[in-house]
Amino acid sequence: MNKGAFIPRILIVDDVFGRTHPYQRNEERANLCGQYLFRDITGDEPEGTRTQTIKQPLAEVVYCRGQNPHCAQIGDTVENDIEGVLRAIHSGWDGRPAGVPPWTLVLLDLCFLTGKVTSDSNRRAQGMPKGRPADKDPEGYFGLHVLRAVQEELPELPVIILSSMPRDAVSREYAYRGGLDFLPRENAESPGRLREDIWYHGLIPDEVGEIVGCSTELLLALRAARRISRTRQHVLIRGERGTGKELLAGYINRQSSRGGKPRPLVTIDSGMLSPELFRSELFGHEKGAYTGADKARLGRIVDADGGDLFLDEIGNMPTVAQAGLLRVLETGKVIPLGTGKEQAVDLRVLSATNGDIEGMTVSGRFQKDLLDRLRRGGTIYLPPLRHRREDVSLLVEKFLREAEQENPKAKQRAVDPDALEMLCAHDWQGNIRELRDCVGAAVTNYPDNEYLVPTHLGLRLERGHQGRVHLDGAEVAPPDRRAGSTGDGDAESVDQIIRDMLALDLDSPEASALAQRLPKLQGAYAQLVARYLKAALEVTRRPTVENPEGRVQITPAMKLITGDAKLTTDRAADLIKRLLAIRPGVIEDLLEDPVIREAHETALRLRPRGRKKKPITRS
Amino acid sequence: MTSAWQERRSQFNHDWLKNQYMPALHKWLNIMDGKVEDAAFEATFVEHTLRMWESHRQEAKGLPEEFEGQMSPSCLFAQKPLSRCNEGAKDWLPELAHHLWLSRYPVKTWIDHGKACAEAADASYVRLQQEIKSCTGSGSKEVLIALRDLFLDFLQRCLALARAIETFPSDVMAA
Repeated sequence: MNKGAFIPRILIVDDVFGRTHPYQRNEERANLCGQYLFRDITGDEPEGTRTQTIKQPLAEVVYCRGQNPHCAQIGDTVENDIEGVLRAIHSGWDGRPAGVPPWTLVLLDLCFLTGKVTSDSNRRAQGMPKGRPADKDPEGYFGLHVLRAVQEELPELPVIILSSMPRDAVSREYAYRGGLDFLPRENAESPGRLREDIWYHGLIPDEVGEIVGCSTELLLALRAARRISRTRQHVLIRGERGTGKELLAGYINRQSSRGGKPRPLVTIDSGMLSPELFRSELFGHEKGAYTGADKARLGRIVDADGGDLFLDEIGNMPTVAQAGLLRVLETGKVIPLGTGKEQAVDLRVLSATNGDIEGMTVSGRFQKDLLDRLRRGGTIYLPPLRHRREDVSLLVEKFLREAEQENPKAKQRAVDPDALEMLCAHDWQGNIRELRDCVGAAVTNYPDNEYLVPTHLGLRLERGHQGRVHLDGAEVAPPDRRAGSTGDGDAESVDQIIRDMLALDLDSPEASALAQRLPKLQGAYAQLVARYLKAALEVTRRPTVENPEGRVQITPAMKLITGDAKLTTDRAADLIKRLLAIRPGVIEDLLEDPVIREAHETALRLRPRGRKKKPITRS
Repeated sequence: MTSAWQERRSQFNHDWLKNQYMPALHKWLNIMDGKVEDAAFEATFVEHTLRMWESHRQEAKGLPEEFEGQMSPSCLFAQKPLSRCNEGAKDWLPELAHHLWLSRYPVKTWIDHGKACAEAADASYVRLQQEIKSCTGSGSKEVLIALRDLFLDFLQRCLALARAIETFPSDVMAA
């Protein structure tokens, strides 16, 4: 992503500004866009009525009335539509196309007027009802209902109140429901505050493109980094090897310098040097301070004065240096070796580890006090690549272009869909670094190709390995998803498996003997489903700062299983309930697994009474 | 219960001033600053949209003036259950409730502030219109850019008015 190319995408849920008119544009909406510098991309204006141009839009916005009908006329009765609001939110969150960032944030109105559109109410505001008394009661604001539903269903979605109603009446309630800010819509300062809110609360990719990706998992980590960057507190970055911890440190440093002079960023790999050299490197030394110190040196801490010191792999830091660093962090002063003279420093330490640093404090290899200092400002968890598979295609593009530039004889190439599928399915234990190496090697080894194809990648066909099931010695292969399986995807494929299993000739001439096998087959099927479901729930976990293990998410998991990117949360809940209700008595066994149990409880909470619409299984 | 005064306030302050009029003023300032282009809006703003103030100025002034008469607890004696009070009590009790209300809450301050804000907004509007009339080719954006500070002043007066009207309590408060 090039600098300046990203424009935040915002959903605005508001009855007045979200409503549609049949023959002309919504003038209030156009004016609000002109006030806030929004580019309206809702696409519901009648043809030929779009005359407004925003030169440098603050955001692209999609409006949602949150009510039915969107386009109301005299005589219509307008009612709030929470399902419609959630559908609109999901469409730009977990139902968005690959490679498109999620909603940067949602702006939510509070008071939604309902009831009949009369000629009087229509004269004052076209398509608007007069409103019922309950609509205007702060305790019953529809906006707060929406906020509550979002908090339950999509707690990571940033929501900000944009309303002209008094803030005091709802300040506690909106905070309690996870609202991040309250912008008085009419205030002249609100557009500026919204710009700040987008930066502080919004989910936005790295604008200079050093950190590539727009998955929610990555954007949440970037947001945590931006929030932390406002302070001078020390930060610990955690993540598996190859997840880009050093790049994130650079991002924090850049964001800290936002709008001002760049601050220095000095990097040290804590395991690279001997203990003596490490101390010298870190704290500096006087000429003759030790053998070989033939001239004075300032030291990296002084180099980083006013900026950031990035300590990579802090678990490898020599213990003698740990005590010295702790002293610097406690006193804000450094004493170069051999000088005995203190020098004040303004230092923020960004440290990184992929190890069990807490375990090292227990074994005495790392000072607990130092660790506490190093994470005083917080800990940011960088997701492994397997938790942000949607970013693989963007990363592959970037690494291909880099590799092609490094190798001038290499042809520019496109990525074959099969190769991309394989890249997306791979486990990437070495994360982004491993992906970069894999793509780089493909360009080096096949410079004259115009396509990156599976055979260039040197990856094992993991799907073929993992997708087979053993049952009583028989091997049953799930049908290929690409071979015409659509809609319910693997949920139906699994049905197909059991049909195949039931249809198996098990070498018995007796029908009764085969019938006796049925419970066993059903039990095996239940386990198959449970394993499949558990695997999907595990790989779609979303780690957060508060919960590094990650929360079970049923919708992404079921999307992965079904291959249906538009699957709604309700449908995911229904599918999970159905998958786990295979055979009476089996479910209790399955629910002993905590992951399955969490998913089942979530499904029951979301859909306590089950589906109302069309059945899942096709006949 | 929603009183007529509250209903009028909602229509003036929320539905018109905050939702319709002020966003248009904000947008006009952005147009003058070159951040927004909208030919249809520019063609009608000065002659039509801006002048909507003239049909709302009476309400802006009337709402603070009529607050005391319409939102006093003495009004409660005209409706159930207090309307069932005996006639003797009705001779003195509503007036007592009204005086207690005035002494307990800063009603006069709210009213005076609201009236002052409405007058200030109107004065700012009149000044703006006088300047617009004195400009040749008054409808064009290029000419009116010189009056940007007056437009801004009027917008700020409208915002102050909106806040002042919002300050009035939303219920008939007990004495």
